[in-house]
Amino acid sequence: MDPIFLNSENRQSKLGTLEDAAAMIQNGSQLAFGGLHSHNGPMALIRQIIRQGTKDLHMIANVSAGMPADILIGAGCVDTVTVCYIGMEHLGFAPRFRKAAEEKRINIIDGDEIYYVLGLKAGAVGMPFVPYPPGHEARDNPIFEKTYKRTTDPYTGKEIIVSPAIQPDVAIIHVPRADIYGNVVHLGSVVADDLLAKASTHTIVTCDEIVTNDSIRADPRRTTIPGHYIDMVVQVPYGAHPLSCHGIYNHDEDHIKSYVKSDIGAYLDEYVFGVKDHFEYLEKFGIEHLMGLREQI
Amino acid sequence: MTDAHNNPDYAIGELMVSAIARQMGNHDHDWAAVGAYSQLPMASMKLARMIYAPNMWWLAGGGGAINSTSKLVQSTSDHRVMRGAEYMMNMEDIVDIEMWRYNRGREQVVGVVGGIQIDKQGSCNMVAVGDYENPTVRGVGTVGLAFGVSFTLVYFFTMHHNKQVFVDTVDFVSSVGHTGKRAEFVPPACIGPQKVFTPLGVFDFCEDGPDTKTMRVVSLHPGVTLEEVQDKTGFDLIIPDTIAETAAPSDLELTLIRNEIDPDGILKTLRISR
Repeated sequence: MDPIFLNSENRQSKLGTLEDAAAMIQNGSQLAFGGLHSHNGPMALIRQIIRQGTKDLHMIANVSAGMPADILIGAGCVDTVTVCYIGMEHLGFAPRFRKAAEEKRINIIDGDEIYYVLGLKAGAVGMPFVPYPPGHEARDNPIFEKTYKRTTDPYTGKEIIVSPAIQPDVAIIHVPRADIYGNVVHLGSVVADDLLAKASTHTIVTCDEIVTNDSIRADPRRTTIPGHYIDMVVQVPYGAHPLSCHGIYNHDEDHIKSYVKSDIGAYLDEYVFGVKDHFEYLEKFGIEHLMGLREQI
Repeated sequence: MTDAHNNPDYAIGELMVSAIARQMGNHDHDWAAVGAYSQLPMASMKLARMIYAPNMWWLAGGGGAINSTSKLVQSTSDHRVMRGAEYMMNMEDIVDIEMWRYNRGREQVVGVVGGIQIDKQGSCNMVAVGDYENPTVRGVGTVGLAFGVSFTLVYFFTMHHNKQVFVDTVDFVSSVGHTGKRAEFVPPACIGPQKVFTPLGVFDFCEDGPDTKTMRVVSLHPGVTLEEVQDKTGFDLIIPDTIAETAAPSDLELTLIRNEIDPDGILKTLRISR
């Protein structure tokens, strides 16, 4: 056998459980999550975070956040949120975010795609802030949002806008496939999952399927995030439900619609606190319903 | 409501898709982006590439698919949009091209976007209705409208035409229109909003001061009166001497929309109000 496979016997697995993963997220920490809209969100882990009663999170909502952001706010886990977009796309506003914002129960950092993506890029490489090209003075985010600052461009002497680097304490992402060493394979949109893994102190991956390391090595071009960025891998079949997991199953639009309309306390009681674990959650939907969501690309 | 509002020959969404697609005929070889909640622009991009702009590149925002040829689905982020795409952008790719590409003197970079408020000068708000500190409606956030000062130009589309959407002055500037601030700060290569496509008509922006422009009627959709559109707009529109009727979708456009682009009929089910 090739020596490299002999060495792999001593290589440490990063496998953990949802409980192990949630325990990595302390009260008051900065928590970022991957995916976008109703797609690729680490929902099973988010339900576990709610179940364990995490409080005072500074949530770095993803570039277009829907139910993952809304349910964490609705469950009272969030103290501060960095917003790029929080809404339900064609299903309307995110009701618990909107209510909490209008009632001033959460602090809001009003970012946007540039603030979020280049902030993470700066965080990933250790740059202190993001300098902006001219033009952004004409819009209101850099005026109303106090985390934007002004400084002098030392090369031109002109005043420029800057926004801070973003370095989340923990990022959580859900992907279709990973091996036990954290090598990740997306089968659809990566969005900013790769950037989150680079920028965050710790990154936890939940995945629908654990694949062999041989399968990763068979075509390394498919690997979308190398495992050295990943601290823990948790196998959670249907771990994005009711969101989609690109390449494996569609989002459960009917359930997301019913979530939007629900009383949040009753919803949490039924789908988070009223089930002992992720599989009991899945059993509420039944095999026929869950299998009906499957669609490959 | 006039009879034309319920014209059985085509849905209002199909008319809007036709109008936006024809506009994209100006952008063969350019690069265009649509965001989330964008069934109308997504269908328009597909139609434009079939008829009017075969060399246009377009991004299904969020999900990142380039030049998708999938059938229309509700969300640009749905993985089914990947079908027939030529590339999948991640967010760094998207910020790279949307923030600076045009400034290298290459093709035009075009955004087709919406907003919870759009004002007479074409500024757009996605953040808050009312006072920012005490909003009556907290919006979703500025998201990709941050590129309003780096896109070459922007086209707006709306699913509603009423005084809640079309206001005199937006409460929060997510993307800046033709204001003095644009003139002062934004590079002149970025020329700002150019057209507005609503369920009632098509509009552009006309100079009404040294550094300002205001929304002007270009065409009204069949059956829509000037009185109706002014009555449902929260500021005085500029009214030109002649106003066209928006051309109805052609038989070819409707055939492509119904058979190739939107076989599931999503455009006919959109909650478009006017």
